[in-house]
Amino acid sequence: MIDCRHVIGRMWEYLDGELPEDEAEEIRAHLDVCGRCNPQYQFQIRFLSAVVASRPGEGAPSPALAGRVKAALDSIGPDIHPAG
Amino acid sequence: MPAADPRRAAFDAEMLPHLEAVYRFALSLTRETSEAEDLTQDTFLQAIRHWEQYQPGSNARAWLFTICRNLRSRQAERRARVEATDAAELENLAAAALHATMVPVDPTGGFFDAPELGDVIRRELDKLPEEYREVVALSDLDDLSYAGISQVLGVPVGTVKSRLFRGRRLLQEALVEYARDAGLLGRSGGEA
Ligand SMILES: [Zn+2]
Repeated sequence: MIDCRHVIGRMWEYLDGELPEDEAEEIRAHLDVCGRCNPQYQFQIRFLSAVVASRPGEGAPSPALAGRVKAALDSIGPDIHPAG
Repeated sequence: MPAADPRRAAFDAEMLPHLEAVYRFALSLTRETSEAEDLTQDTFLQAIRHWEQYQPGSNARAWLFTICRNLRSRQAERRARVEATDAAELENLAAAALHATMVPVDPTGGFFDAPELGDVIRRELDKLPEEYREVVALSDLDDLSYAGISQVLGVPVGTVKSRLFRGRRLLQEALVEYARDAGLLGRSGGEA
């Protein structure tokens, strides 16, 4: 049997999928029925989704970068190419 | 207990004269007398377990000090692991306390869906101290596991968790404050 404090204290590990399966299962079962922990769970899901959705688009490389890297790799010479 | 056992007699004769020196060294490491006494005892227990590795006539004191110091570092590592675990749990509890203040106005975080939140999150992330920002970015933007972040940063998983959770909580506090100031909390009542 786990209590609310245990569930609240591991909420982020649970949401990150970082708990052992048996503990995660206990927490899932608790969240299904607990009126106190469930809103906190919903709140944290929405928070994490908002952070993930905020990923900056300008962080993506220019389309030319992959070609540039490949060219740089080619320029090192044939010695390190796999045979055949 | 008469030292009829010759192994034990040899140990006592060679090692026990250094008891006080070991204690003083232990005290310099722990800075606390009862911890130093425990560490001294553990040092001698460890020493007799490994008595066969001692070269008779070599520097007994240095050998005991080495054992003492190794025991102490292992204790410190264990303590750091426990403290990091506690810190991670405390951050979770602090986030729950923050959530408790939201229950009357927006219990499930409907305000996180507001269209401007992406900009606000990026802005507030940039304001976080770097040690928290980098962990939040590696986890929540780059999808690395705790083990992966631990590898990238060269810090234990417990430290990854305590930094990640602290960073998330600081970010969450800033967002809640933004939502209050911007009047997002009264608007939808949390039901999107
Ligand atoms: Zn509960």
